[in-house]
Amino acid sequence: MVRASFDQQLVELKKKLVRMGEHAQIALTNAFKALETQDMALADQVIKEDVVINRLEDELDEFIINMIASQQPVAGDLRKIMATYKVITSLERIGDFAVDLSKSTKRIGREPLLKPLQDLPLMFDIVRKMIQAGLEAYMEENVQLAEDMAKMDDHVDDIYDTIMQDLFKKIIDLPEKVEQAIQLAYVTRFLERAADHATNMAEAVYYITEGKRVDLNR
Amino acid sequence: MSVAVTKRVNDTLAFPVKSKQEERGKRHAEKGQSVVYETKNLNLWYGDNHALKNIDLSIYENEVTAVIGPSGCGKSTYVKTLNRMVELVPDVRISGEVFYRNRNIFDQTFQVEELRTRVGMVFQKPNPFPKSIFENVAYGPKIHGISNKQILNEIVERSLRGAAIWDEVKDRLHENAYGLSGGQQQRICIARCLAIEPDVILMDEPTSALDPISTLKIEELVRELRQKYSIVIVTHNMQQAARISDRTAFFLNGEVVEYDETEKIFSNPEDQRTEEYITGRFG
Repeated sequence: MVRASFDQQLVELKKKLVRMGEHAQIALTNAFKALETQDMALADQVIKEDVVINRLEDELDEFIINMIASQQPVAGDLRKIMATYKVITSLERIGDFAVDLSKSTKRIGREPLLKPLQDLPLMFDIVRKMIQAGLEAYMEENVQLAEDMAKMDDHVDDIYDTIMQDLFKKIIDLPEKVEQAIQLAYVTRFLERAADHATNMAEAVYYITEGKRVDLNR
Repeated sequence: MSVAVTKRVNDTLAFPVKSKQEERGKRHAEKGQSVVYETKNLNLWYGDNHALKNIDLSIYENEVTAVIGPSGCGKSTYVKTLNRMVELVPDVRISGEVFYRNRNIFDQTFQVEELRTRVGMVFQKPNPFPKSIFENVAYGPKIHGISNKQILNEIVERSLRGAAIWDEVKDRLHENAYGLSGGQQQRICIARCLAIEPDVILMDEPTSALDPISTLKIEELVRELRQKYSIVIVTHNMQQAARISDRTAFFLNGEVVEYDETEKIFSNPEDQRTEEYITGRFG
């Protein structure tokens, strides 16, 4: 192999990215768990630990800049590196949504919830699967997994509409709960945005393997 | 063969199967780009060595066409065929056709001198004549019968300006060209080439003997020259091909593996062998 050290760097890049992905997944899972259980300490922990994801982002940015400067990648290598750069941005945003979600959780505090959470856990479950699928698709450069993401995203959008309509009704019926309803609307929005970033990851995978740009987030 | 079979074979042969290259050629024709060189089924042998195999390539006007590939792939041979320099090699045998501006360059009515007046060449190592800078550039026009001092002065200045070296040498035009740096000598050679007002400039690894700054100067120059000339450049430096060319041909073992717009070749090549070569996996 002529470029063994470069290939080694590409493997290293993947590993680092997967580590960042794991952190982002844990952050979002914990953030949602904190909301469900109204666990303020856990919400605080998510906010505090975001710095780890940000640090990993910086580390990966630097790694990529060094690779471009020293190896001048082209073709498939360049596509891989540029797509990874986009995936990093998406993961960092997912980490930020976990923080935003935690802040909403803290604003709601221990006040009893409007009603038991039903649709939201369902939505979260799909979003979690989408992020997982996005990372797997990236690891394996699996276009099929990436394409499946579009369907999952449609499902998320449907649930999003249902929850929003439900919350509008609650605002009219229970005006004293307006603030909580707004926070829950934010949470719904954050999850929907996280799903969009998962589809962005899938689009990046599509670009690596096919060399074409595709919009999976229709 | 039965009549029916013969007919079927003939029908099949007559069926216009369009190669990707032809399709692309059509696209360019639609864009109104003229073809300067058209190579059709070109084969070349050095003795028993089959150096070029069934080459079909079109070179377009006012474009930089880069020819890349590992050593011994035939890229220099191809470029040297375009001005028939390859015929200087003993034991060379050529079949197929090369059209320059719709005239077959191997046709007996096409004088090689005429071809080389229209098609200039710059080589790997700068090769100025052991003469003054002025004489180097004025050499071609003089051979073509221009003796008027003022006209020669104008040609020399215009050519040196065209080669982006006028400011560096204008006060020392009568010094020996050997006193210049490698990068300057190469630009003198380009000026010498421009002095005969060619249509096409062939460059065979023009920067491989130069330092990085001189290389960048030549690269900038090539980008500028394409406004007026059509340029074919052989290069080992893939970044150079990516930076300066509009179209890239990848040669391997005497064949054209892939020929496409440079942007496409370096972002998403069609052929796995191209991908492996340009990403440095072999070659």
